[in-house]
Amino acid sequence: MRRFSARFSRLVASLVAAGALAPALSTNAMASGMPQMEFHNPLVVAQFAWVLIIFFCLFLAVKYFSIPQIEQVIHNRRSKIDGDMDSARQAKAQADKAVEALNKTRNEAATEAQAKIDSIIQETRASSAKQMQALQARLDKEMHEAETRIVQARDSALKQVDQMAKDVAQSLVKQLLNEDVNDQIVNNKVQQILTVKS
Amino acid sequence: MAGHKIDALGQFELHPILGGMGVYFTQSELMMVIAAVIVPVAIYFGMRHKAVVPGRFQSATEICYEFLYGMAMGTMGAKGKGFFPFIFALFFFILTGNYLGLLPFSFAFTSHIVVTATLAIMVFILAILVSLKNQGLKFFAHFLPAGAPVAMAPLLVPIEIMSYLSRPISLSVRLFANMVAGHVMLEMFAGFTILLATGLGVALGGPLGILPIVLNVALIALELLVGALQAYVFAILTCMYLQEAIEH
Repeated sequence: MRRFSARFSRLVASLVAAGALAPALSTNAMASGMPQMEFHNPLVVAQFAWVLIIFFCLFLAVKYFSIPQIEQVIHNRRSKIDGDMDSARQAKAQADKAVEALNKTRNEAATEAQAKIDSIIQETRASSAKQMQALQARLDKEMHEAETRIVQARDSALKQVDQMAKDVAQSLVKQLLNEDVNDQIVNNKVQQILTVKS
Repeated sequence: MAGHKIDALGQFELHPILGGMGVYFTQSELMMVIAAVIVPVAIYFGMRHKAVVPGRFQSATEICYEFLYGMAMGTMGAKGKGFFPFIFALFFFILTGNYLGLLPFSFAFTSHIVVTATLAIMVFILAILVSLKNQGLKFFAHFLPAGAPVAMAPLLVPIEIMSYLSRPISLSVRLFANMVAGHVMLEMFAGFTILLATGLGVALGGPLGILPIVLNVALIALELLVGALQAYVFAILTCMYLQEAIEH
């Protein structure tokens, strides 16, 4: 594109210049020919030396003054950016470390808490089992005692039943016969029957 | 035409300043000096804040630098870094010269073949010296293209030598012709306005005379493009010649 436009502009320029130069060269009395081509004119030729001198001065100024000035600024910027990037990287590394430490602590705390919970559950289970055992033992003992008491009560009740049966039998016999009977005989008889039945 | 003629070439005449000061000092040299002063001064003022986040002027300066640095390094490679200040100075000397010439009552020293030829010869000689330093006598072997049959040498070697020698001519004439053509056109169209006004009378020629002025505005835009382009072409061709001198 640049080349094209350069060529195009040069083409246009040369076409127009050719048209412009022709009458100027032929009819103009003020400048006959191109002043640039008057090599016998010392003013024209002297430019050779002047260009060299002035360009050399510009070259020195650019080389030792301008370019170092620009390069210094660009270099400073680059090193500042690099420095900032470094410190940012360090900050990130520190933050990462902190996060890591935090995670580690949290994990440890979680593990510890879990262990505590487990041990408490274990203890609770053990103690409740113990309590259950104790309760069971107490209940068993109480049941046993109750059973013993029941047996004793029954036995004593049964003994009283024997006596009552003997008394009832004596009084029945007395009322039926209307006379006193030997208690011993009745008692023995009742005892015999009770023994057979039980 | 009332005796008015367009003097398209008179603008290129040199006039001594302060009697030439005994050293043939003309408006052309004055412009060179101004160009040589403007460049470092502009860079100094552009970069004086040394801001990390650059302002507009500093940005422009840095963009110019980066652009030229990219072009020079891209063409010459890392080995050519030593020539970068030379390319930088050359580019801005020509660019400033071209643009100074666009100011009214100013003068474009790049429209003088002696000036452009001096710059071109300087580049040419520098390239030869760098070639001889880097390649020694092998430099002359390049006048026979690699792989060409030896039988063709009598034909090829003179052609190659001619093409090599024509480099400073094409380099200088390209810049010179572009600048001359541009300034001649500007002068011609400006002259048309006067011719129209004086030839046809102010009533008719005056309004018509606006047309060449409008064209001149467009031409100034074109000249701004050409001025930058020619400086760029001169610089990049210099880079290419130096790259050849460094590499081969």
